Amino acid sequence: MVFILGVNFPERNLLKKSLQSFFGIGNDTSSRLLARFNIHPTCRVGELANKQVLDLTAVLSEMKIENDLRREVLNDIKRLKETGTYRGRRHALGLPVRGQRTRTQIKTPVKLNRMERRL
Amino acid sequence: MFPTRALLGRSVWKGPNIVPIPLPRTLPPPPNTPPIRTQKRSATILPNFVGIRFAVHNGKTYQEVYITEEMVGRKLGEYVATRKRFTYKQSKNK
Repeated sequence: MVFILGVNFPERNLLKKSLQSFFGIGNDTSSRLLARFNIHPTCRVGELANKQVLDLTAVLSEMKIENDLRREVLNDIKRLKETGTYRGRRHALGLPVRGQRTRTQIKTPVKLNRMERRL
Repeated sequence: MFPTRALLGRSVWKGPNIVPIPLPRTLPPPPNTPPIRTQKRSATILPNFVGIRFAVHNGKTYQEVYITEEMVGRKLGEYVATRKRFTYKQSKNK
């Protein structure tokens, strides 16, 4: 078990996939992180040296991920609502925000767009 | 990587959509000045609009919008809805 940013990862997991389990880190960011510390893309969590773990944790703690990012996104939506924009209204109604058709197939926004958006 | 939608929206060489709107001489305008009537919903809200009341056309009537600092950079029409919400009307004769 290896601790990265306070989260416990089993040693046999791929490092790239483990990094992607953080909210705000996807395919692109995680491969960039690996390249930055000269780690090969198929590296497992257990193969990391102690210093590499510390380096990764130091970089991750400075990035805007997890709850900070969630809060930022929610605040952006809230600001749209409070100023009374069309986009904010669409968020509150649970309808598509970016001009999609609403005649059929709006299951995703109905599910996700709330007063407090599901993230 | 995908650029933001703000970048995709409009060509950079055009710049923001600046529409000549007759602004009051004194800022902020004295109380009891009538709001500026306009149909230019696509006009970008400029920093010198802050504190002015606009009456923006929604296709039928003019609705009042008070411009605050957060609205700068958006469009006037974003704050005035053009559509009514659907309400069920009961008909007498079936």
